[in-house]
Amino acid sequence: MKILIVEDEKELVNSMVTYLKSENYLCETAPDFKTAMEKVESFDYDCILLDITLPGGNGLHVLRELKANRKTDGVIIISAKNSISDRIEGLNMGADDYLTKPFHLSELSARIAAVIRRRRFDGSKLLTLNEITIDTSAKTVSVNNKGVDLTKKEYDLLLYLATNKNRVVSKVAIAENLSGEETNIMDNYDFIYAHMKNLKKKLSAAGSPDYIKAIYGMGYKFEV
Amino acid sequence: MQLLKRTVRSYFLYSVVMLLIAIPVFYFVLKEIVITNIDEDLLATKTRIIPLIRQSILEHGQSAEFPDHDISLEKAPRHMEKDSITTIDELDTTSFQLVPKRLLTSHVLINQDSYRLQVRISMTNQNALIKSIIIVQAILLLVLLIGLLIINRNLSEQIWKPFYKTLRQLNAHKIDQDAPIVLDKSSIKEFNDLNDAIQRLTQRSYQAYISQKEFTENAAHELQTPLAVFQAKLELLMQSASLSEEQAVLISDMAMAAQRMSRLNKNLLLLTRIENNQFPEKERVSFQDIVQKLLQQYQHQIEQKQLAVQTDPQGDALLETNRALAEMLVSNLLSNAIRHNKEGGMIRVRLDQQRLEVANSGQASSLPADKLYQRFQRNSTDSNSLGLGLEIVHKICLINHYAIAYTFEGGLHVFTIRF
Repeated sequence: MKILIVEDEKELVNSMVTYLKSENYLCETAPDFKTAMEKVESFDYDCILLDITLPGGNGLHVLRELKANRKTDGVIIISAKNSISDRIEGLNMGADDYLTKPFHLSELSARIAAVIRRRRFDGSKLLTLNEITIDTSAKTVSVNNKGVDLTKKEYDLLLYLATNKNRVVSKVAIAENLSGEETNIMDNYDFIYAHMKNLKKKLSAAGSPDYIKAIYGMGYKFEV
Repeated sequence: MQLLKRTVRSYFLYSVVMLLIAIPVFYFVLKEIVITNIDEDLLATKTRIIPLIRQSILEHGQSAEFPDHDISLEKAPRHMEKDSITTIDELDTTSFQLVPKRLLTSHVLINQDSYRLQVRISMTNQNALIKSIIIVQAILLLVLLIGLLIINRNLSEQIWKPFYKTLRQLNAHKIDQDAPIVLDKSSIKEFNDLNDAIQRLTQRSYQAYISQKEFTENAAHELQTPLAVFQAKLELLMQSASLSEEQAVLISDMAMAAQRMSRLNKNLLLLTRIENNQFPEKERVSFQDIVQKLLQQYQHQIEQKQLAVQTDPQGDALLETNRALAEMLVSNLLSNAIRHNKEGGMIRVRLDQQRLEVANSGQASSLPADKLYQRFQRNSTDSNSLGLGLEIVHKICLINHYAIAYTFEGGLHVFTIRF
């Protein structure tokens, strides 16, 4: 999987590359508008992470160029701006998703996975981890081909952990993913425990080993 | 009292007093002059007539007949008094009316006989003259006065017009909505100076307001990237295999602090965006849907505090407004109602086409109403409260022209929004 990161903040790019590499993504970077245009014109990517405010130009022009050339690269806009009009403009221009800075790397990874899944043409929207299979189009989960009845929150939780498998996902990131970005109440993270407990119970009842490990008070890890 | 009324009233009072004093004074002065005049006439008549009388008596033994009744001469006991002049009312023989006259009584000694000479002059004509003069004078003064008042009034209105215009513009001016005030030039120097001073003042406060707004916006904006880096590095740190529990707890605490910073930043940006009117899109929004959705979303927090939620009578408000702002409005009110509630407390949401009311139990005393909607005015010790929620609510109400009110009744904190 090839990913292009168009972003001028070097340290942020480094962190993104480090995190995504462990997911076996091949990352290329473009620190400015010109490089971004060159790379986009010459190569195809599975997903492009696009900052809007770039040295030398507007990221939305890169997006326009892509669409004008009928390229099918998935695009996630990453902006510090979180303005609704920018978001709507970006999505209208054909971006697949929009992420506001600051974001969690685990969230970014989950969004990239979703974009790539959606763009797969072989119809395979299944995520398989040993005996667990997640059907992302039907939003169902099965263990050893036996369906497991999960609530929406539990499904979201499992998918989030699974797309970040073998990495520690922080409580904060999980809470934000589950309750949405605009939630006002983030005071306590207790509600994660409740959902996590139920999810683990249901999975083990269906015959799956306990893959989800709590890492001290810090977060959770889906180990396969 | 209005400025114009004040000046006109002073003028008017002065004029009336002057009129009241001037007319009697004028009358008496005139009368005095007339009487002096008559008296001089009387004396002149007397000096002219006495030689004639004397000659007549010496020649004829008796006085000549006087053709008019204005002069009379009769024998009188000897009298050493001086001449006297008095005012008398005498019956006029032709008109049978009392007529005021000036009477000169003089005693003369002719041939050892004592006579009393009386000369009178009627004052009727003079009095009539005085009367007409006074009337004409009074009318003149009155006309003058009214004219002056009218001119003064019009002139004042004319002169003060730019002042009132400036006042109107100042009253209508809102620093957070309008550009700096632009005032017309006036032909009067003082008003020009005033307008210039006001213009400079509003210009300065406008600039201060803009730079304050820009500062918040830029500061929040520029913090986003370092925050993103910080958060990303923390997440990478979490991946290291050799973390001790102690280190993990530290990292976790940092992650939560970073989360708080990022929420604070997002809310500050949101506030500036609301102030900049960057939510122009409007659609038909059902507040009931929003309330239901959010209560669902906050289900866990509600259960955790064991809050009783009352949502009846539940009507609906269908309003033409911005959906994102409407959701933020309700979500801030509801999350406050949950956050500042006590264990086992209650939340009451009432909704109809006119109003949304969110009431909750909580601390047992009323909140300070004057500081309620100000930035970072926290009323709880809850360190997770950002102190921006109610300001966001207030700003959203402001741009949507909703009225927001807070009351504390029956142990409940009630926020009412009238659409």
